[in-house]
Amino acid sequence: MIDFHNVSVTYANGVQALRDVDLRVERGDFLFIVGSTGTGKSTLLKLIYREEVATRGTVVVDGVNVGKLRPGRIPKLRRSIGVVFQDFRLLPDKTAWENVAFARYVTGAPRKEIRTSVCEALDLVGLLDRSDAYPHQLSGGEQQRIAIARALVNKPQVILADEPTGNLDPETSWEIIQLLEQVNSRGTTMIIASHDQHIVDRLRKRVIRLENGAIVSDEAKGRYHELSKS
Amino acid sequence: MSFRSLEYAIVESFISIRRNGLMSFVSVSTLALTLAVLGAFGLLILWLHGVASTLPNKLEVAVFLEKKASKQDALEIRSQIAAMKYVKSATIIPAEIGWEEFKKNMGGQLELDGVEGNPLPDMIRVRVGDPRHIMATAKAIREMEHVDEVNEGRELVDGLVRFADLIKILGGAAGIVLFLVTIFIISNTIRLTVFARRREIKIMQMVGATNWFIRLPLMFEGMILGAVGGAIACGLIYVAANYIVKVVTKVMPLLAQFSISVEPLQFVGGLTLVGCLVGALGSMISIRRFLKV
Repeated sequence: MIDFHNVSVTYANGVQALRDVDLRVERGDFLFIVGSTGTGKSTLLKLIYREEVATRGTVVVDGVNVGKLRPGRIPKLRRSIGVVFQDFRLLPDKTAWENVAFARYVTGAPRKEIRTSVCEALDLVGLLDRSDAYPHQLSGGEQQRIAIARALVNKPQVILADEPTGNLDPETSWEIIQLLEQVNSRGTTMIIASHDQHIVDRLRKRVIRLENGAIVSDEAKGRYHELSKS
Repeated sequence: MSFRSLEYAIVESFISIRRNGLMSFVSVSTLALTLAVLGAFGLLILWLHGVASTLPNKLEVAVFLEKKASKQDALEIRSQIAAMKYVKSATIIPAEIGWEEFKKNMGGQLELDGVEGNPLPDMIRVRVGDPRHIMATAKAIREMEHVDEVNEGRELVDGLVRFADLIKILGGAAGIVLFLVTIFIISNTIRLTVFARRREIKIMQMVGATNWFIRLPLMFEGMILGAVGGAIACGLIYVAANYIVKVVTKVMPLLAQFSISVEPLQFVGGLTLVGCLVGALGSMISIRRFLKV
């Protein structure tokens, strides 16, 4: 459902973030993108939800050439993609409930329907009882759960997570990853950029390794470090 | 933009005003003060224009006839003057009536008992429609037979005409400048609010909100704050105007007769509407650069 053909990204300052990336992600896949910071993991994700546009090559999401999307169509694309970040990115002035509901409101959904879907999402991440809390009243792990609830409330085809456990302790990280795996098991494609070696090695999912903006390995049941090198 | 999104935007704007209490307070205060200045200035221009355009109607050219002119002569001169192009009215004040009026007006202040008979000649009171033509009209009357003296209040007329012209030009220009300054101040105040929210705007875009969905609550917020500011400005002006009128009436009673009749509902509605407009415009200007995808 996601196809990268010969994608290169060069930023205005001359930095080449991605080089000739070819990647195919099937519906329902669970994959890690690993590599040290600055190797283009975030850029790769940004291309999918059209925060960045490929300098060369094409990115196709669900049959749509994202790079050629008119600006007016971008919001619709983003509603079909859930995004989770290292720093949670919740709206500080809104409660947990409102943060999740916001993603539904932007689609113009009817109020009744919003109530049930937000309930479902918060229940799934186990925080229905914290609905009225503001982000600053929640722990990091709880905030990330709210962010995940927001990402999945629109029932997207794919969820992108950029270092979702980067700010969390190992135990909480593992809980978050298990939650993401649970969401994936319901059929949502999951793409996680991470440099959390422990988690990647423990899950043994598909692992794509980036080095200097190029894919250097793509293993079905990979580890953080390539076996051949270690 | 569906009706549901509109409803959401309105509810959001009220919530946001409440949650950002201090910022809302600062914005409303700024709006109220700038709008009060704008409104007071508008009233002043309105008043000055009113004075400048009603005063000449009160101005009269006094035409004194020669003592030897008969009543018949006076009637003839009157009809000649009344036929002149810019003359609005010409009334004969016979010497006897003029004397009675003079005695009544000056009664307490002058010792008139010693004056024998009637020292005044017949007089014709002439009103000219446009103050610009008073001079020429007075000059033409002066050439007429049996006319002894013409008093047109030269300096006053000259000054007034120039004054009225000046007010129109200066008032218009200053009004435009003041309006622009108001928008500038407002958009800067709102920019602070929007700037504080640029991260939120980014998040909203990431979740798939359209630009209008992000813009609308902020615009409504600006409009509400603007309307409240406008209403408060009306209150400020009302209090200030009452005070000023009281002082002016005491110090310069002559000025007090030139009041302006402003429909209070129209004025309050107008200033509130201007506040709305300024608030919405300020918001739009401030959000623009944060909405680039």
